Amino acid sequence: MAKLSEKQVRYVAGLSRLTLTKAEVKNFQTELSQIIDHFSELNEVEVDNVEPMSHPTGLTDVLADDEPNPTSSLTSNKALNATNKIHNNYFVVPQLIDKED
Amino acid sequence: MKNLIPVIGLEVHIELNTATKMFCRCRAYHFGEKPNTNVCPVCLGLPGALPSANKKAIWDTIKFGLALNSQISSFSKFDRKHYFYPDLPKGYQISQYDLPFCTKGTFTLKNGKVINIRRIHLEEDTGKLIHKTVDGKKVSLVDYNRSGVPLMEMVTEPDFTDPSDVDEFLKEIQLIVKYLGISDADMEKGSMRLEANISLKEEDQGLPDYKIELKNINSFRFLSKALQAEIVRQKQILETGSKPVQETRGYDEVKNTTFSQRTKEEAQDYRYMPEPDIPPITINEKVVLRIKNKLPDLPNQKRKIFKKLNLSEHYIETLVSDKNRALYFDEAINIAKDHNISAKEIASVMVNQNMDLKYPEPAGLIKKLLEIQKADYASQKEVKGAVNVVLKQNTKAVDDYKNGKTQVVGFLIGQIQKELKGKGEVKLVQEILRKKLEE
Amino acid sequence: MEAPNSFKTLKADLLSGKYSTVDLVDYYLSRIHAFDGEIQSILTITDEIAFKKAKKADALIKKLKAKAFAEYPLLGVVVGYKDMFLKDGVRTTAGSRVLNGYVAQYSATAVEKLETAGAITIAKLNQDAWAHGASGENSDFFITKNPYDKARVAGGSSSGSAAAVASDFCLIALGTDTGGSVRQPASFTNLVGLKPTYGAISRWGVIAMSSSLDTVGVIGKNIADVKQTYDVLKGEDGHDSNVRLQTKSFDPGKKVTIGIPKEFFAERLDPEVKTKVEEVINTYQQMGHKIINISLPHTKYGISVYYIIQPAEVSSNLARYDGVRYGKDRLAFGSEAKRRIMLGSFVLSAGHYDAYYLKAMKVRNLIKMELEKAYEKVDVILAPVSPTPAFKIGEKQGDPISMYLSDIFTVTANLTGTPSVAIPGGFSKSGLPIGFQLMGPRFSEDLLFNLGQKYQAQTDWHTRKAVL
Repeated sequence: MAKLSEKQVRYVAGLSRLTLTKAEVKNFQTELSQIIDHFSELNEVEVDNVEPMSHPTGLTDVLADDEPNPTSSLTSNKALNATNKIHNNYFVVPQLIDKED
Repeated sequence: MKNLIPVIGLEVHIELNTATKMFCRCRAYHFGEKPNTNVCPVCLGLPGALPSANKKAIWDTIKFGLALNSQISSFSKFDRKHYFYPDLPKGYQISQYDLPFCTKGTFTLKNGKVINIRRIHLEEDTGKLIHKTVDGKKVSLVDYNRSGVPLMEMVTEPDFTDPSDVDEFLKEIQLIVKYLGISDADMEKGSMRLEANISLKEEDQGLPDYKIELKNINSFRFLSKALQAEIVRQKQILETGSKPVQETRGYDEVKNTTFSQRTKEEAQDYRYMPEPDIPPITINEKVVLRIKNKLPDLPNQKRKIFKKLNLSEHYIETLVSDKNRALYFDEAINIAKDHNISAKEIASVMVNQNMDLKYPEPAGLIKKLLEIQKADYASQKEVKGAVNVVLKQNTKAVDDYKNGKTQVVGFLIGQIQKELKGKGEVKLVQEILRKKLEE
Repeated sequence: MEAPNSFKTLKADLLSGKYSTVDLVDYYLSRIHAFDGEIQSILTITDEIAFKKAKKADALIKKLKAKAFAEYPLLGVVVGYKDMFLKDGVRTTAGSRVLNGYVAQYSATAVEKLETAGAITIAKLNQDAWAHGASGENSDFFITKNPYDKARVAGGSSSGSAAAVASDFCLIALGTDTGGSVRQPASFTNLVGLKPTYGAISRWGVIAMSSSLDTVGVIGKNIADVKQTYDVLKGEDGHDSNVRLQTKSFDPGKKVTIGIPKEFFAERLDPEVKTKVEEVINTYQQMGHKIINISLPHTKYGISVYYIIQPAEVSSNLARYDGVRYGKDRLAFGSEAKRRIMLGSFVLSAGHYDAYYLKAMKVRNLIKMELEKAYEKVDVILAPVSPTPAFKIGEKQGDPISMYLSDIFTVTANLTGTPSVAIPGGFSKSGLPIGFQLMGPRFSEDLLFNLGQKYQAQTDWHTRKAVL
C-alpha cells in the first residue's frame, strides 16, 4: 500500500476525534503506512470459507432478565462527582448546535 | 417533463416499555425524573462497564417483527456504531448492523398497496440534550437518564408515493405497537420518532440519485405536511432542470415549509464492528412460532371481529383506534350477552356519549344500561291498565285462548305493546297477561 | 522481618504470631518508601485502606485462628492492582493523563472478590497507559524499572504489577493480559504470570483495552499462590456476558504430551532464551512427559492479526473518554494511544474494513482452529514468553514495529482465548530472568498449574529474589 496521504490521516483523525499537530500528521503518514504495510503479509493467507471470529468463547444467548436492580444504579451524587462541569444536576458541554430550546 | 412521482421511505424509532434498560438494569422509565438520577456505570459509559442484553427487549422486537410479517433471523448479534456526540456516552451506540432481528416485513395499506419493511433492529437510546445559555455561555446540558433505553428502529423500503399513505401507515404502526403492549409510542414524549427520506422520480424511471432526509418532526400531521411541502419544493427545482441538494431538512410549522438543517452532509463512516462484550444470539424457530401464536389481537383482527357485529365503519374505527376502548368494548359485549343489550347499543353509548369514561369497568357500564332500560319501561300499573284495555277490546281472542288456542298470546302481546307505545318490558307484560287470562 | 514468599508461609507466620497483618502492611510500606522511588512501580498508595483491613484481619485471626483462613482463603494477602482495576473511591488512571485524578465510582468484580476473600489492597500500580505497550515506557507518569537491572524495563504493560511483586511491595498483583501484558513482565521479573482462559474471570470494572482479547491476569511468586488467587477470581458475576466457567477434569499424576511449536523457536529468538527453554523441555522430559515437535504455521500471522483487531477495539473503547462525565478531554491522550486509535479507526473505516478487520477476524479463526487441532495431539504447548530477556529502557522507543513484534509468542493465547502460564525458567548470564510459558486448551488452567508446580518442585528459580 502506498503511503497514507495527509488527507487520509486527517480524515481518520477526524473520525477518532483527535486533534493532531502538523508534525503528528506527518509522522503518522509514515508510521501508520509502515504498520499497515506489515499487514500485507495477510494477503498470503487463504480465508475462503473461513468464518470471521468476533467472540473467542463460542457462547451464545447470554441474556439478562428484565428485572430492575436498584443496587447497580449510582447515586446522583456519585454519577456527577467525577467532573465539576455540572449545572442543576446536568453535565455541561459546549454547545454543538447554535440553538436555544 | 414526465409526471413526477414521490419516492418516500421511513425510519421509525420506537422506545420499548421494558422495566429495565437495554444493556443494564437501571429502570427504563425516564420521563420527568431529576436529571442523571437513573444511571449506572453502563449507561453512563464509565470506564470498565460492560453491557448485558435485555432478553425481553429482544423478544418484544421479534413480536413487532412478527406483527409486520417479518422474517426473524435465526442468528443475530449486536454491533457497535461509532460517532461522537455528547448524548452518546460511550462514543458508540450498541446497535445492529448486518444481522437485525427482523427483515423483509410487509404492511398492506387500506388501498391494497403493500409497503415493504426492510428491517427492524434493536439499539440503545441516547441521553437528552438541552441547549441553554448558562452564565452567559451557550452550552448544552446532558441528562443520561434516557441513555440505554431499548429503542427499536424500523426502516421501510422507499415504497410510499403519497403522504397520506405515510400517515395511514404511521398511525397503524403506532396502534400495532400499543396493541402488542411493547411501547406507549407517544409522539409527544418522544417514545416514537419519525424520519422520512423523500425524492421525486419520473414515471418509469428507477430510484433517483439523491434524497432529502426530513428529521426532527414530532407529529404525524407535520410529517405529512412536510412531505407535501417537500414535493412542491423538489418539483420546482427539478422543473428548472437542476437537482435538489442532498441534505437533511426540518419542518417549519408556522411557514409550512421545510428548511435545511445542515448545509454539508458529512459522509457517515460509523466504523461498525461486532460488539465483543455480547455473545451472538440464536433465535429458535419453534419459540418464534409459539410467540407468534400467542400474539394478542392486532387492530386489523379487531376490525374484522367488530365488522361481524354489524358495527358501522365509524364505530369500528373509533373503538379500534384506542386499544383500551377496544378491549373495554370486547369485555362489555361479553357481559351483555346475558342481557337484552346489543353490541351496537354499547358501541353507540361509547362512541357518541363516551360513557366508558364514566364507568371504568365494563360491568359498570352494562349495569347502568340495564337501569336506563328499566327506567324507560312502563310501570306495573300502566301494564295492568293496558292489558285490561286490550282484553276488553279482543274478547274473541280471549275466548280462543280459553279454548286452547294459546298462540293468540303473541297477538295480544303485540296489541298491549302497541297500547304501551313499545315500552312494555316483555317479561312483565307476559306475566300480567297470563295472570289475567288464567283468572 | 522478611516478606513471606508464599501464601503458605504467610498463613503459618500469621498463625504462629511471627508478625501480625498490621506488621506486614507496615513492612511492605517501609519497603515501598525505601525502594519505590527508584523502581517506580506504584501510582497510588492505599495505606489507610490497607491498615484498616489489616486490623480486621488480625482480629479475625485472633478470634477464629486457622478457621479464619478457611473462611477467607486470601486472609492477609497483600495485593496491588494494575491501575486498570477500578476500586470505588480510589484514584484510577490506567496509566494515562486522561484519567489523572479520576476517582473510581465503583469497584471491579476482581477487586471485590479478592477483598471479600480477605486480601488487603496496598497500592494501584504503574503500567503502560491504557495497557498499550510491552515495556512500561508508555506510562504517562514514569517508567517502572526492572528490579533485576534498573537500567532495563520491567516489561509491560503490567510493569508495576511485576516490579512490585518482585520488589516485595506486595505478595501478589493483578494485571491485565491482552497480548502478553501479564506473562511478559512476569517472565522479565522471575515471577509466575497467569493469562487465564478468556471468559473465566469477569472484566467488570477493569478498564477495557481490547474487549475480545482482554483477560484479568495474576502475577505471583509461585504457581500455588497464583492458582489460589485464580480460584477466588474465576466465575460469573452477572456483568461480564462472556464469562461462563467450564470444568475440565484431569489425572494429576498423568504423564502428558507436550508440544513444542517450531515457529516459536525461529530466528527471532535470543540464543540464551532458547537454551533456557530447551533446558525446561529437558526437565519435563526427564520427569517422564512426552515431548513432540508440532507446527502452528498460521501463528506467524498473529502479530498482524493482533495489531489489526486490538487497535480497532482500542479505538472503540477509548471513544468514551471525552472529558464530559469524568477525566480530561481527548487532547490528553499520549502518543501510543493516539497511534492505536488512529490505526484502529483506519482499519474499521469505510473501504478498509474488509481488507483489514474482516480479514484479521478470519485469520484469527484459522489460528484458533489450528491450535484446537494441535490440542487433539498434545495436552499442552511449551514455548518461550518473549524473544529476549528484559531489554534496556529506550532500546525500542521510536520503533513501534519492533516493539509490537516482542508480543509474537504471547498473542496466540489471546487471539484464541486460551490460557497460558508464564513460569520462571532460569537466568541469563548477566542475571536477567528468563521465563517459559505453558499453554493449554480453554479451561485447562488446573492442568497448567499442575505441570507448573511439578516444574517448580524440581527447580528453585522462583525462590530467588532481586537485590534492590
